Amino acid sequence: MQLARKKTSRTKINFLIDLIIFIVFLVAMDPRLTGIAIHEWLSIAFGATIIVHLLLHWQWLAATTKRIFSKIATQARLNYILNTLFFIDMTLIIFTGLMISEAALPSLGIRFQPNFFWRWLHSFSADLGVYILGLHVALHWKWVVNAFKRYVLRPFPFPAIRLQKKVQA
Amino acid sequence: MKIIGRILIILAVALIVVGAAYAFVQTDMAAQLLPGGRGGEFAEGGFPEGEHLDRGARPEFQEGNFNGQPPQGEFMRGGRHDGRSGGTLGFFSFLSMGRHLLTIGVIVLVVVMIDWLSSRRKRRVRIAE
Repeated sequence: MQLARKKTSRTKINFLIDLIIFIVFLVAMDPRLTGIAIHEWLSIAFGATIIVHLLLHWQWLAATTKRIFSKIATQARLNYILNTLFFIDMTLIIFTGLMISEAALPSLGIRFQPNFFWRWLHSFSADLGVYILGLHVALHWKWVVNAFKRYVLRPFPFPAIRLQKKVQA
Repeated sequence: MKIIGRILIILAVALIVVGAAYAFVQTDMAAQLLPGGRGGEFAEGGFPEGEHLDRGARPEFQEGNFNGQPPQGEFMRGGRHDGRSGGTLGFFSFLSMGRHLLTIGVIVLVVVMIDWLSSRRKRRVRIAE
């Protein structure tokens, strides 16, 4: 019973973090919406949230990394390749964003030489990120739908089910 | 301790990506990749006066076209990084956000449809067998 409760809360945390990442990504994709300073600080926070996301999926990450060159399911391999691309893309977005920072880093007294390539790469990787995010969400669509049903549409179980669970416990 | 180790691994991998990107910028290939094949002083230094981006780049970046005219339509409010005044919660910002959401939605729809069709075909084959 305790294990089941733990597992559920883990899914809930995953869903919450993923939802935050998704919304922040959409908001950060348009700096005009927030202004450049919020865009930059939000993106830095976004980087930290991605680390949390990776830590939450560490077991899958480690297990698949070990087995990637051996025989594994096509979907898992596809997922791994896509996630690797996504990680590279996100790293590039955040790094190039820092290199062309106009508010966050200058406020800390750090300034880089303006570089046309970083600007271009920031824009290119951000655009690419939308497509990779689409594929990432698509590959986990069933999980997204189930979690959405469980935590958004029916966040509280019916009293009868709650009573049944209490009796079982 | 385990978590710190994992964070360090993630940061190390990110550092490899950053290092590769940084090394790539130093090569001539980076300049050739830019829209219009520009590089040289643009890759290394700043922008020439009055000119910010070449064609092919995201229009949100542009602060004016090459005739010195202000940007038109959606981007009339200024460049992508022109939110110094604190952001413009306008219709076009939400339109852009909706466009990204729509792109993601279309991708999800296509992939889910492909998945559904392939699983239906597999089921049919299994029944036929």
